[in-house]
Amino acid sequence: MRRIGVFVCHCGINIAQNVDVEALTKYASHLNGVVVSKNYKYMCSDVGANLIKDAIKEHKLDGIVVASCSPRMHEHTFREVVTVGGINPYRLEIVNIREHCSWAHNDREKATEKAKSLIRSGVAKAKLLEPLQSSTIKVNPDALVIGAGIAGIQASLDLANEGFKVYLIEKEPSIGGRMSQLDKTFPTLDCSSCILTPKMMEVANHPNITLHTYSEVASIEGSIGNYTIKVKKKPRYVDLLKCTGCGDCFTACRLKGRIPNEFDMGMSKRGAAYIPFPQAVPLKALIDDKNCLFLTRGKCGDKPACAEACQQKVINFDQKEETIDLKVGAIIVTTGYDLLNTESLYEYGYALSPDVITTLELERLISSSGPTKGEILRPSNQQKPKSVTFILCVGSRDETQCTWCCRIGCMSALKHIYLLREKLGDIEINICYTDIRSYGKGYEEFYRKIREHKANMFRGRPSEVRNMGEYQKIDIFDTTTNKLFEIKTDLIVLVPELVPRSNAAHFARLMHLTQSGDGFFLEAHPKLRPMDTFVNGIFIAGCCQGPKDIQDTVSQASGAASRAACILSKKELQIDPLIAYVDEEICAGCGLCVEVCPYEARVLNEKTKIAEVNAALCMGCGACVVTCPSNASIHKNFTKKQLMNMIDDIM
Amino acid sequence: MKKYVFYPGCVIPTEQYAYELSIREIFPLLDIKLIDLKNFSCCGEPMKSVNQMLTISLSTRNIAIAEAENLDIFAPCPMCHLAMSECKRVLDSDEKMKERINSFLADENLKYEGKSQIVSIIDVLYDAVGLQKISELVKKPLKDVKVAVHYGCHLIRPSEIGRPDNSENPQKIEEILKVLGAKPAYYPEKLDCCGGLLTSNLPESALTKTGQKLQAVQQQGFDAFVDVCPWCHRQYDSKQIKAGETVAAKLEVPVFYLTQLIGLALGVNKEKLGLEFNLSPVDKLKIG
Amino acid sequence: MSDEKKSLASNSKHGSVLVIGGGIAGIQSALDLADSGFKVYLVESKPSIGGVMPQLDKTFPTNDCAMCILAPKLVSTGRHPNIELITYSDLKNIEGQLGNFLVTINKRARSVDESLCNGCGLCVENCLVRFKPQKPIKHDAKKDLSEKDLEIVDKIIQTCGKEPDSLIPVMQVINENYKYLPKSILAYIAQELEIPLSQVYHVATFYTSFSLKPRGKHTLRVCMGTACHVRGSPRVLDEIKRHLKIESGQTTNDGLFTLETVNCLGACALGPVVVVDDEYYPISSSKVEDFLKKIIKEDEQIA
Repeated sequence: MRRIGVFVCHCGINIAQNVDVEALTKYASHLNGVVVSKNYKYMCSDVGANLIKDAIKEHKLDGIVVASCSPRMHEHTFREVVTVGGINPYRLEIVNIREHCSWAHNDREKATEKAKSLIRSGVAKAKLLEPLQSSTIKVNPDALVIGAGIAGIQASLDLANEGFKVYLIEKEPSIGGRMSQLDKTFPTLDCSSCILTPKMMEVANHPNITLHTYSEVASIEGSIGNYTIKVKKKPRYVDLLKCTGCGDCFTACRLKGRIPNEFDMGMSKRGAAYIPFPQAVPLKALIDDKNCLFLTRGKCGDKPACAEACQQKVINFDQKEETIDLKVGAIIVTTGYDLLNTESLYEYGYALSPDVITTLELERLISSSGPTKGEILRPSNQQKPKSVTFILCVGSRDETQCTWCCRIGCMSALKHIYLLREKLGDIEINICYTDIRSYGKGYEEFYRKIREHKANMFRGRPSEVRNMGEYQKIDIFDTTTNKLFEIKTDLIVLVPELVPRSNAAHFARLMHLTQSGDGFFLEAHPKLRPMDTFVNGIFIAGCCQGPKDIQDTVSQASGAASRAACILSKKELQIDPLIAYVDEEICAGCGLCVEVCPYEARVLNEKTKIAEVNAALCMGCGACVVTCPSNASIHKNFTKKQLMNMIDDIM
Repeated sequence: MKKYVFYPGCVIPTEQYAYELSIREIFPLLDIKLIDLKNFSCCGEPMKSVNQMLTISLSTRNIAIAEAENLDIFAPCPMCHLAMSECKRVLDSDEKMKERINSFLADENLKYEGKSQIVSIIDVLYDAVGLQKISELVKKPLKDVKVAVHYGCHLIRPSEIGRPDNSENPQKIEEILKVLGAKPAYYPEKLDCCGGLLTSNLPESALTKTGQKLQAVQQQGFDAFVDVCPWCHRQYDSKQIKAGETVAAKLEVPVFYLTQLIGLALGVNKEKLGLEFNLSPVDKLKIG
Repeated sequence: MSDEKKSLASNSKHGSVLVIGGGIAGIQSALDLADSGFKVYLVESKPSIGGVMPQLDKTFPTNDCAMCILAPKLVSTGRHPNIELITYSDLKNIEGQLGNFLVTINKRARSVDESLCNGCGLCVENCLVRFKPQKPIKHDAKKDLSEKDLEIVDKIIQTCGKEPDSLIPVMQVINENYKYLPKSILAYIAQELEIPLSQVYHVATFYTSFSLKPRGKHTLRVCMGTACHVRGSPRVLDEIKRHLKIESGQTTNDGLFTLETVNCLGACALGPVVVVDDEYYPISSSKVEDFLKKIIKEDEQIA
């Protein structure tokens, strides 16, 4: 005969206002199997916990029912309390009389009656709960960081400095990400490369970091603590160990100056053999196999020019794609962002004139290692512009395009005003803005300082950028002065929306990540678990989670590293035992449960023809239980008998 | 053979005859049959800013007349097309409004059910007929004729309700002209309004807009200017001289209806396309 | 370097961390560190951890109930075997360096034995202070006066009458007595005569014969009327200013002289005229220095 204790929580007035907790307590005490019934204002507090612990001792209880808020809130807490009290934590049943009763109804009498039914069924289940044991899995102490922009670099360094081994993989031939493309950063106006390259060097030289560039994740298996990842490493056609980054190959390449340079946002041209940029890490050449004459047509003059020029003889056209297997315990995703393709926004005239550029393109013009060696020149005629106009919120905060704010547009534009004044002196600078969002530390002060540089600020959005040939023309209605202005300008800089990477959907599917409505990767909870995802053991940081500036990116990256360290610093992890299992005698080996499992936690054993459950992956969703035609898939502590008993008692 | 009810509106049958003439000439060649019905009224678009109920009632009535024949309704005038499209959108989403309007129409034994589609000249030429068919019928290609295309406003806006072509970058008329052998070219003023609807309140502003666009077109060396809307055509063609006076420029731009150019390319006789009604110097263009 | 390379894959504790501040930031840091195996001291100056978040009702943009999302973390922090909560405490001193800090914490007295208290709330319910009515304490202006001043002012009020209409006579006598209107006395007058202090100031600042600042021992009034002006009173004024190093309306630092100008004293035949206290003196600019010295000498003689 079971000895059940029922504990009813008032939850302040959250439950007590709509449900008569005293009556509930009294009712529960009379139920079959219930030995003691108590109530308290805040069952989740220390007092409440002690109430339960003392009752267990005093009445020799072997099953607990807590009638309170949703189990999602405090089930974990109460399990711990019950364990300390001396009972198996899975002999605990939470009855939700808040979200399911008090919060959903107004009629106190009826709500109390409903609560009584709920408690009755809870007691019925509690009487049949099995004492489950959680299992453990060993944890692999290595980490994988996907994406080596500033977020990935920061996370890798944090973990590596703690002593963990980190695999850092990057799709591009060099690490550094977007930050390496910038000239200066707001609000301190630090030179971006100056603050980034030391970290890049640290990553390259760190004994705990293994860097794989020009590589992408091909597949992922396993679960928290034990992931197996296949990485595809693209061939550079260059011997990485011997290449010195001297640059002879790209000087000699027959296609030099023909292929749009991605790093310079297409504003300059490179050859097929190239080094991404002067501060690239690793500083090694590579050959673009989509354009290289030898690789695409089998012939490059008499002999490949790069191979001829290379003193070290590191060019190797026989290199093949490599697959690398990595085994890690936790993964951090830091894959970054793309800019909205402004060509699709026809009204801004991006496709109609080379003098309409985006912010990243302007950064490259400003950068001394860029296509114009730091001179601001109009792409159409290579002359200095006499007037530059910024258009903010291109595609942002727009019901028809992207609804979110890019967060960095206003500050970037302000920074650019400063840099343009520095480079071009007293030219006309116009800004068409919606709001100036200078929310961060030092941002408002930066804004005030920049206002002294006398840019013309128009509050509104131009409806059209019209290419008049020699100049661009926009009409803008300024809502602060209620006047219509016509601006004739030489160079237009669009500040476009930050959007998820073009392959974000594919990557999300690969990693089983969820995307939020805007396409960025979804965090488990925006306030409480902003770096966690719904996949245990995979964390996200930086702009792949949502647009943000460098400060917030670095903070998030360190936070993600800390979250990952929580897992990696453990030898083993406990697995929640509330999962499915297979009754091997009944299982017919039909395999339907394997197909239906969304977590890929089941597999049909080829030899025994019986389904098996990977305890680490199973999330206890119950899909297999419903699907199994023979009732061989059973969910622990959610058995048919337990549930039928609950239903009987409610009726 | 596709059949449509022909809805002429008010301006075409009373003033812009060339449009209707050219339509009726080329449609049989394109295998389109037009059915004429009695009792149509104004579409109501000009009163829209003053009395929306009136506009909706008038448009619904016209659509209901076509629905009685189980046919789609073809409105060559983009203003009429917008009025009826907008009306259809409102009635299809608002049951109460539909009931109310139908109660007005009950007196005439008319009922709006939402069966008929509202079709524009672009929908007919580009979708129903298709570029392929048009190119097969071309007898006298408009060789090297540099054409400036004017879409007007009612044809392409507002984008939210779905219009025959893209609001920011419409290209369908250019594509039709290309299969006719012409050379439509981009010009910055392409999406500028003709100013026609300003005529009642600000006549000079209206003509200024008209004149400025024609001036730009002339300066950029275009051989012809093409439009699809009787209101626009009235501005650019009938009032070209006055527009020139308003902007102090000598304007000599040949202005055609798209259907007139198509007729010329399909080898139709000049006289049958209503070209004598064009007041702009269309003879400058040596074709047909 | 090799120690750093050592794998940290163990559940044992190594090294400890002090987290100062037990709001959501401190709580999250403490939890992450404790889950990684470190011992964490969480110091909070309020009696409970939680910070500002428990004071909020809902949080944007999800409209989550603040306490509902915080409570699990509070409970985890309180129960975590690796976290030692030190509440109602402040940081007193930090010594040492990275890897080896010695921190001194000042733990304030709760007057409650933390190990025994189970938070039942009986003491809270029965606390006597809890039910005392809280009335705003009004300050008695009498307290700011010395006994001597109190005696003097009380006498003046008695003589002139203890009612609002007596305000000006009372202020005149006080002004004469003290040579100005001290702030504390004005407050007392306002209290006794039952007039708002602002009203008292209203009158005190209106008349030029009232001064809110202490006056000099001697008041020099230089006549700037027509006759005196023609006879050189501006020069006299300038000389006095130069000697005393003050402007008209001001008092010398040693408290001896206050300089003022007046429009006409009606003693034109004597002009230019300076009134010292109540005595009229004809004076020329060249004689100013001696004149002032004489006054000072007389003072010393009296003393």
